[in-house]
Amino acid sequence: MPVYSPDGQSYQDRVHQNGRPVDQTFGAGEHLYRRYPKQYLRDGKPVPLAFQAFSFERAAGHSVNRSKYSLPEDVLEPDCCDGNFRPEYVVLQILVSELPAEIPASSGTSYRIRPVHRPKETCYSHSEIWCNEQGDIDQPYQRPPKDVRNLFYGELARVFAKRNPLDFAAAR
Amino acid sequence: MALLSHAQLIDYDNAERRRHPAIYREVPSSAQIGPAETNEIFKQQLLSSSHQSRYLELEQAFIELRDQMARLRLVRENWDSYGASRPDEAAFSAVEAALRAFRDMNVRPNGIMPSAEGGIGIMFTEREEYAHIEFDNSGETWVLTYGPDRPATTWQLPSRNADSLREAWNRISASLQS
Repeated sequence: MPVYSPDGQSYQDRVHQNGRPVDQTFGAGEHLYRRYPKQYLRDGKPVPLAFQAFSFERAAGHSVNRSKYSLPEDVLEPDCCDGNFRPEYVVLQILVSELPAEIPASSGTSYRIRPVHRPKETCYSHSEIWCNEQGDIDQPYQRPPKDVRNLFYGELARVFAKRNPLDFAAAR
Repeated sequence: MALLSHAQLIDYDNAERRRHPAIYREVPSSAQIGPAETNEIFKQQLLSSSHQSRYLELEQAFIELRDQMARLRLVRENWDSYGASRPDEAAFSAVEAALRAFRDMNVRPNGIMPSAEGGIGIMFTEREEYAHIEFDNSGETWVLTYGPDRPATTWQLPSRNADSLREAWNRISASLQS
C-alpha cells in the first residue's frame, strides 16, 4: 500500500517490476534518488557524514532509485524500503552526469563509478552506484579505499549543496 | 545702577513634558510596555555579555556539543535506513578526548554527527566551506574538507592524540579560510 502516492493501477504499473526487463541505459539527464534522514540536515543541506550511505560498505554498490522509472517520492515507499515506513526522511537527487566518473586513489589506482540497474520485484527503479577499476558493470564490484570514498562524498556534497532536498507529505 | 531685563518666562509645556514623558507619549508608558520581565532582562544581559566573552561562548558551544554526544548514544543500528552501524565505544572515547583537546586549543567545532560508515564525525564550517574529522569504528581517523569553489581533499591522521589533532586543525583552519 503506497504512502506518498494514491494507491491505484498507475502506482502499481510504475513502481512494481511487472515482468519488465533490466535496462542498463542511463541518460546523462536522468536523476538518481536517495533517502536521507531529515534530522541530520544542516542549514537545510545534507552532510557527507550522514549520506556516506554511499558507503560501499557492502558487497554491492549503494542503492538509489532512477527517475526513468520512478517519481522521487517512490524511494520513500515501503515497496522500495523493504516494507518499512520512512516518514522522517527527505529525498536527495543527483544527475547521472554529476556522478564523478573516475576518482584516483593515493595508491595510484583509479576507481570508476557507474550506475547499474538492479530492479526488485516491488521496486523496478532500484539501481546501484557501481564501482571497480575497469568501469565495467559486468565486472565484479570493488569497494574503493577510504580516500576514494571520501573524495566521492565530498564531490556529491558539493552537488547536493546546489539544490534543496525534496520533502514529501504522506498522501494518506 | 540696577540692570533691568525681561524676566524669562517659564515654558510650562516643555517642563510638563519632561516631568511626564509617558503622558506626552515621548516614551512608552508602563502600561504600554507591560510588566517588567526580570528573567528576560537577565537573559538579555547574559546574551549581551556572552557575545562579548569568547570564554562563555566556547563554554556554551561545548555544552551543546556534549548534549549532542549524549543524543548520539541513542542512535540505533540502521539509523540511515541503508544499514549504517551505530558508533562504537572506541569512537565515543576518541571524540570525547578530541573535544577536550579542541577546548584546550580554544577551537569551536560546529557539530557532531554519526557517520554512516560507522563512527562519529566532528564538523567545522565557515560560510559555505566545510570540514569534518571522522573517528571510525575501525580506529582510523580521516579528514574531509571542501567548498563550493574548492574540490574535496582528504587525508588520514597518523594518530588521535592532541598533537595530531592540532596539526589537523591547522590544515582545516587554512582550508576553511581559503
